Amino acid sequence: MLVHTSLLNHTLHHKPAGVRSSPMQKYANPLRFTRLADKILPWSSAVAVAAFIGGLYLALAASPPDFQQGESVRLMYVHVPNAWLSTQTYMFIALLSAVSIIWKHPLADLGAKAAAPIGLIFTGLALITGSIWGKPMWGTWWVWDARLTSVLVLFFLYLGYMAIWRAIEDQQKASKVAAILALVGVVNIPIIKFSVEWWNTLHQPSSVFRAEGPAIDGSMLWPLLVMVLAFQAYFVTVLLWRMKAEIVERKLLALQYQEASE
Amino acid sequence: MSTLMDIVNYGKYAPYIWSSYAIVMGVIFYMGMSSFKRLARLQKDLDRIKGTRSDRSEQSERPGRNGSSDYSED
Repeated sequence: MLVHTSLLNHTLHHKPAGVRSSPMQKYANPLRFTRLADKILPWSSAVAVAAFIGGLYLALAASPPDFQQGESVRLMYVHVPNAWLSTQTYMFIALLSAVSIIWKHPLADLGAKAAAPIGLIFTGLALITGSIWGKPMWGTWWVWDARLTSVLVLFFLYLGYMAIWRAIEDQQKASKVAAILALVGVVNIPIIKFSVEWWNTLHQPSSVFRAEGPAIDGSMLWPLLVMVLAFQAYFVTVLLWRMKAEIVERKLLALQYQEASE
Repeated sequence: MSTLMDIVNYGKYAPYIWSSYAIVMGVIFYMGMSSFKRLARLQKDLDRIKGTRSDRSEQSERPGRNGSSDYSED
């Protein structure tokens, strides 16, 4: 594997005194980023654990059954946060890919690479829980409707993105090719969002983010929001762990490369 | 007064609900643990390599142990 030496150079780089840097440049330094991550991690992990405990209690015990769907509505509390995070993570990757291409920010491609497996897992879980919910509600595990198919395309986009990072040995080249795929694939995000409005689908339309306000009763909306908070905090925690691991791995490779050349 | 078993009795939907929650919680727990363990392992490897390098540089700087100074002392 070819070493991404620019990252190591950034750790050794010292800015001349009196030169002001933008916040984006400031956190381009992996050491500074690691220090910031170490400050955030205890809070994000504590919020994730607390929100999961509270959210699971609300979802499984405190929230009422739906007047139409009955008890099966409890599947919403795990399906919806995963579905939201699947698209949100992809947009995050696309944004970081753009930053990586335009400004050559050394942490942007690293963040995008670290986020991809998390997005893949969320998308997989959204598909599985959606399928399990579909069986009692629609009478089928799967149907090739616009929403389900576009989410399946998103799943394959994540797989393709991760495959590029693994297939191309030169990490700088892999970063560029993966970033282009991420930016091209972003066209799928509005298709996922508006598929339920553009086409006639089995999947229900949006019931939270609507111009008229949420269509869900507060007794179900709050448990959903607590579960969303839990998954968001979990995403931040795992992303920071994975980004730190990427930084350490690149440092290790650079050190091994240095040793081999000495 | 309803017991916990009454509260979590979801009737015919129970297999769907419990299997979904078990899959989701199991997968996210596994991903969290594996990410954390990977970071801990890599950090350990980095500390070990850094330790070896600093030991080596200390030894090479110390007179009478390594390098040309060994021979000049004798």
